[in-house]
Amino acid sequence: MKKLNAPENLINREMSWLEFNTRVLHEGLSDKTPLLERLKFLAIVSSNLDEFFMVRVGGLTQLAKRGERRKCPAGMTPRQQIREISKRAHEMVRAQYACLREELMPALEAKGIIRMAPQSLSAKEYDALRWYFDEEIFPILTPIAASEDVFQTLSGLTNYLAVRLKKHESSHGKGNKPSTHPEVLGLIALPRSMQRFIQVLAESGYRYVLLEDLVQDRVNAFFPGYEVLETTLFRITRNANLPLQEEEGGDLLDAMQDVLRGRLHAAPLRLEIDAHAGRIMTKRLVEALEINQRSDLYRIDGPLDLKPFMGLAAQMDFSDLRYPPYQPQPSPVMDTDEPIWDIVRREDVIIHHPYEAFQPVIQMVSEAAEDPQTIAIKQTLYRTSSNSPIIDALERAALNGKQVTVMVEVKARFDEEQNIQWANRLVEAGAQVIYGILRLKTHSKALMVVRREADGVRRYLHLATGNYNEKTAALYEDIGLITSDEDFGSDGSNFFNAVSGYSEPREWRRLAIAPTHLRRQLEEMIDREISCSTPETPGLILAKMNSLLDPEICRNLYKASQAGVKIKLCVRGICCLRPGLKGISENIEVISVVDRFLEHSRIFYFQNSGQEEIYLASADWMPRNLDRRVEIMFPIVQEAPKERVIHILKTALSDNQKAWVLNSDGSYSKRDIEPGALPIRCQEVFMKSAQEAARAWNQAKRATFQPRGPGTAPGL
Amino acid sequence: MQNQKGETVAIRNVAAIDIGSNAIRLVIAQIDADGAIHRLEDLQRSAPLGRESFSTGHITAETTNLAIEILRGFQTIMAPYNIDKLRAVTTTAVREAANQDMFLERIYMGTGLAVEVIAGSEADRLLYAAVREAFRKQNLTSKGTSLIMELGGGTAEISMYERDHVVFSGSYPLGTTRLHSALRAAHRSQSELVELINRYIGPAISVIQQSSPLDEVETVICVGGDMRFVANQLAPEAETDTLVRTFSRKDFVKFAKAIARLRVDQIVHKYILSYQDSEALVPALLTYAEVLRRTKAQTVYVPNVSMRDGMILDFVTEETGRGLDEMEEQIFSSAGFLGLHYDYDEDHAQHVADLSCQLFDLLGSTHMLGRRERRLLKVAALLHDVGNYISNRSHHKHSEYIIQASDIFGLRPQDKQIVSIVARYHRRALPKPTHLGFTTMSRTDRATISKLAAILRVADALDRSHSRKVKKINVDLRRNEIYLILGTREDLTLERLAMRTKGVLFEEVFGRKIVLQN
Repeated sequence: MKKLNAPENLINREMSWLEFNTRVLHEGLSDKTPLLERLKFLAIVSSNLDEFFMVRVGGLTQLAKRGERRKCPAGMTPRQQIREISKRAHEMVRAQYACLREELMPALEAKGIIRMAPQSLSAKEYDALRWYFDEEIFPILTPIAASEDVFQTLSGLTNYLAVRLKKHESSHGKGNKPSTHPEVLGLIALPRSMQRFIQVLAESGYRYVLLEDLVQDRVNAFFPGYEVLETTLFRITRNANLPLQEEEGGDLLDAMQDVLRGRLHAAPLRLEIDAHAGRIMTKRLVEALEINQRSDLYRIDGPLDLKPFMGLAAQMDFSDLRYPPYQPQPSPVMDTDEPIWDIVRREDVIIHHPYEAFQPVIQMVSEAAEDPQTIAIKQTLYRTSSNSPIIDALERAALNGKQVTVMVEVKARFDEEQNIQWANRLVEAGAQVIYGILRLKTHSKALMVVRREADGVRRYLHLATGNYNEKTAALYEDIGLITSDEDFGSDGSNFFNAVSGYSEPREWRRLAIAPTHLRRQLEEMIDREISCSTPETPGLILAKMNSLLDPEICRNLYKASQAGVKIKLCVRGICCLRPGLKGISENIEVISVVDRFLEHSRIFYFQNSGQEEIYLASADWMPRNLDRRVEIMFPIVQEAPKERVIHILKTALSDNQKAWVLNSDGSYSKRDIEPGALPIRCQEVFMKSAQEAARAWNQAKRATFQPRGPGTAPGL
Repeated sequence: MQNQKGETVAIRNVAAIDIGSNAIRLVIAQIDADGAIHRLEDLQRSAPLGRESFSTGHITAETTNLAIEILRGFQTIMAPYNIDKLRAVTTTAVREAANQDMFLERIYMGTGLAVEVIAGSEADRLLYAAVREAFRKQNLTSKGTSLIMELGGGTAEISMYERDHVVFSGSYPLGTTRLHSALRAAHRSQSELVELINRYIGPAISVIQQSSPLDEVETVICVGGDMRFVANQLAPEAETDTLVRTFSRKDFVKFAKAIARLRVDQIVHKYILSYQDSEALVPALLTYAEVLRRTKAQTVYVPNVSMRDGMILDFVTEETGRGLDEMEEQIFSSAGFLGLHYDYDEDHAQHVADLSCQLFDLLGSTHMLGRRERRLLKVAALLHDVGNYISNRSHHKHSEYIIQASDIFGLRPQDKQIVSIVARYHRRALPKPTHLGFTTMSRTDRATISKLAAILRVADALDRSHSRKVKKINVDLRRNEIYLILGTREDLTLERLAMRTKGVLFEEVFGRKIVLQN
């Protein structure tokens, strides 16, 4: 047996992440992708990189500065990782901007979407622009003279205009000898909150001037009495100063968290600067910001900060340059006049987003809110949209006297303020709002409605892989289950009692909960697959998730591979498992699907000698999810729903259009279509089948005369 | 219960709260019209009541506040269910606290819950009911003498049964929390600790053996978290919702030895248990192993039930009458064992009990009493003479305190009080306001006691000769008299004589003079 613990058996997570972002970039580079979607993908690449630098590179840099030499599970020191990241990030950005400059911009221009230089506008247009500058821009922006202190306080991820200035001779005109004033540097911040694209009216198409182009054009207005020698746009990225994510080395990082928090104003991690910046300017900024010119300086030949281009791609009216719009379809089972409870009492319901609409989930809460038989509603809310219909329904339910309990995770990084607003609204309505468990993020998604029916109390449970957010539900691929099964109901109560602190967790009937049980159950199921695998009928594990980076799980999968178990994984993002290693992982295949919708569901399948088991989960196979968060893994029990989820998983695994194959060296290549195989693009398959199912259902509805009786709730 | 349309729905939601030594627990269950039980909620939160009361005899204000907070949380969970019946009990931890009254009063003020302090025997009865139900559901029968053992934080509850009849039940101060409090004092090596536990357990179990024949036990049934944990390890193939899991004694002893070699932190890590549970595990398993060693049992049964299931079954009995006969059988058999213990005249006692019940039934609705009171009457009749064990003089008073001080399986404290006072009044003085025991009872209870004592006296008089002359009574109820038609040819002089004094209370209570007829 080969040594399974060897670091070379694993892929470094940062490298794997860079590979993932490269796959996203590839969608942008591909001329098969519609033009505006390409622009969007390039913008996502930038936005991903921003967060990656802030969080990951930030953390690694802190470790490196402390002289930490311990290696990651894949055997790289922090310094080695930083070096490698820099190399690959430079390549990625070069490819990204080359594509933007040489392909997308000209192609967009051909379609009438044109970035205009202020100088190229007509006199009339320029006057309008100038008026806009005087009224809307000039009063807001404040130039500052750069000093050492100022550089310390520059915000991360904001575009700045750096201006080399020299006093006009004329203002000191009294003397006759030429005075030699020293050069000064002025800075103007262009906050992200300002409109980046200033539209120039056109008869057709969309012409715009970028904010930074306009400000550069009018830069003299800010510095009267000075001569402008050069202007350059730049942008820095700082450490997010989050306590480093736990995956890296466990205890080591825990011990260091306090130290890390103390260091607020470390040098920036990255400097992006306009590629046209002159030598003097570059040198001045690099020195002032203490940037390592070789590794941390990125010369950008194009607009800095592409993230706002996502908005540009979305707002314009060029539908032929986008994916044909897809309308989430009504799920046939749920699309009736029948009360949701009657349907779910008959059978468990699976909803596959975004192919099927999120509506039934909202409907479940809003029907419960108005329903006299409802006695309680309990729900976890992790990230939800502002003015969410679910919040409205919960508020109504509380006002109607139902017991409403909402578990809010305020640690969800980017939307804390928003969370607190609607949480207050719910409290005022009489709901009970509970904020997170000490030290554990509640990442699970669960909704329970308790009803008093003729034959007693019944609990309806919705469990899902995605958040209660109807906006992302139209863009993220996720799966939800609605069930009235008694064992699920009991676990639902147990779950909410535990997360709300009313009880210690009791015995679970169906759910596996992290951080207490999930990891162990996964390990046991892998072991079971090993023990029932024979050469004639090898074991089979299929799984789909966003990230796989837990070293222990990887080791278990290697053991399974050695025992002959076939393993096929569909991992959208980071994957630290190295497939295809001789004697270790040659029975493991890993693919990644990157397409129009964000693959987000987690599905785990175990063949179990023919007694197939299939689970959905809120958790990825990451230490963070398995050990530090409250997560739920739940089985699909009933036959038809079970088959459907297995089908979804197998379809995703058979994609040969948008799928990439992970190679043993950690790189990815486009999956080849096997000779004779049909092309399968799983997202298209799901869209079509949802549309067909809805169409067939509509026809069936029209073909039969349905008695339009009152809701036949068997209650009371 | 009625629904919103006013139709009667025979479904009840009931709740059982148990304030234990280590934790406070709540079960909410739904009882269907046919008596089927659905467990709706199951909650538990740790509270160190036992640790405090066993070591200092005092529950701190802090822990009392914690208990109130936990119970308030439970009330939040109960609120939407419209609980029809609720019973909240507490056992050793509170029973042994010197500030018991203060604790219970603070709970009452903080939550409105009236918590009942139950005796060990009541706890045993509840547990037995739950175990029996689990065995029945799984079609298991227990062989020979069976022993049910639950090692709690405060006590070891041990009870023994032969064919559904309790032969012995008792609580021993041998809980894991106690053990750990006693041994916590110094840091010791693992082997020293095990050695110490064994030295502590051995004599304690010998005490148990003196009062209960452990060596006759063939079936050992263990209840509680520690053994459920063992079952998870040794019988993992069973579905977790299997009610009763089993493993062999041999496997268990091997496992217990292996666990005893681990430090607490190792147990925490290896088995993902809380620190508290891990700490209790080694003493618990060693205790079980030692008890097991002294029995004949080769298999250990671990039913997944608790006292709370017994409380729920009581509700089922109240709602549907299901299981009532069995429960009464157990109470009577327990009373019989008590009688035997005090060398009672079994024939006379059983006969008086029989006659009392006949009279109770024949009086029909005139006494306005129900099945519970009939049950109490029968127990009082069975035990009315046990005071003879002390002395024949004033034996009725001895009977009163013997009953008062004994555990009778299935009787709640208040029931036992009534029984003891009824037994006291089976002869001599009539109930008087100067009699302390009697006057402390409520008006309703005083009336019940008088009625039952009146019947008991008549029944006792009918067997004055202790020769069971009267077998079957018939009654002719007139306006001012009651004719007891005794259908016997035997000479009843002695009985008539006795009735003159013993019938007085009956005349007073029921307003009818007793006339005996052959």
